[in-house]
Amino acid sequence: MAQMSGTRAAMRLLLCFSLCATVALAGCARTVGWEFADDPGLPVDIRTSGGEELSGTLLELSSGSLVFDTEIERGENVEVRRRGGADYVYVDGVIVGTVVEIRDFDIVTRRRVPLEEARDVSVRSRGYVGWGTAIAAVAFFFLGQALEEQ
Amino acid sequence: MIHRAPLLLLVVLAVCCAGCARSVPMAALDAGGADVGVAVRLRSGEVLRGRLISLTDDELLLDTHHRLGVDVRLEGSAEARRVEVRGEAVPGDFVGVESGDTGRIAVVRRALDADEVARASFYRPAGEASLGPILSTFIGPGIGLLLALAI
Repeated sequence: MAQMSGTRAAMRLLLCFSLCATVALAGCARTVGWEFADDPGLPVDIRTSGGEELSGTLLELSSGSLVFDTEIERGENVEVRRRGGADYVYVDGVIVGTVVEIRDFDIVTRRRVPLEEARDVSVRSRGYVGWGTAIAAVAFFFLGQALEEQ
Repeated sequence: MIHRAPLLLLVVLAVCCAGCARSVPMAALDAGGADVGVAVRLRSGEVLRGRLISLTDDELLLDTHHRLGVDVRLEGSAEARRVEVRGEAVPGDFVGVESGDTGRIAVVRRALDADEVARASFYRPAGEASLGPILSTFIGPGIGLLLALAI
């Protein structure tokens, strides 16, 4: 019995160590090179001259404007209207961008910010974990406890 | 003692993850240690690919790479060093030569006026783009399960 418990603890230790090593070695190592992803997309935070703070995925600089996808939470003040063959997202009656994807809780919206209006543009690099990771951790914590009780 | 070790390592893991993430201004990508790939189409029709060094409201600075070979040569000496492709000098400042798996690569830094740029697309490093989904798929469930077993 004691031997089984010891083996289990050693297994946990090994699992934890593997996770730490993966993140520490692979994640933190700076990948200097000339190999880049096939599809454009860069996680960014943008502060505009109007004081608006935006987060999203920067796709391109086109006609002097930064083009990026951002998620707008669905609500009573958010609506989608079709105009001239395109779906536009309105927030409080003002157009903010075009629809990329309508999801259950939010709308992926393509926005444009003129370069001269973008005061601070920061790239979020090596952000491997986020809210999805935290939610998955909580979900699997309860799943693990339920399995252990059985 | 061995029972507490996984929790201790989870703390280390959280610190590692937090330490990896960083926010780097696009005006100082090189100094901030962030790699961003860029493909640029100029209004003149010229297409450039390389690594973005900085992006401000009036200028885009990028490093372009040229694999040295029969058609691509290094000419001149010291400060007058330049890269020539089929006898034509590549616009920009010569930065240096890097050694890669596929041979020697000459790096040329070029500043572009924002008005010159018709379109520029931005890319994450290939390693980071592929590692992200893998880590986010395994780390969350891994931490949750380990905590459930450890507590």
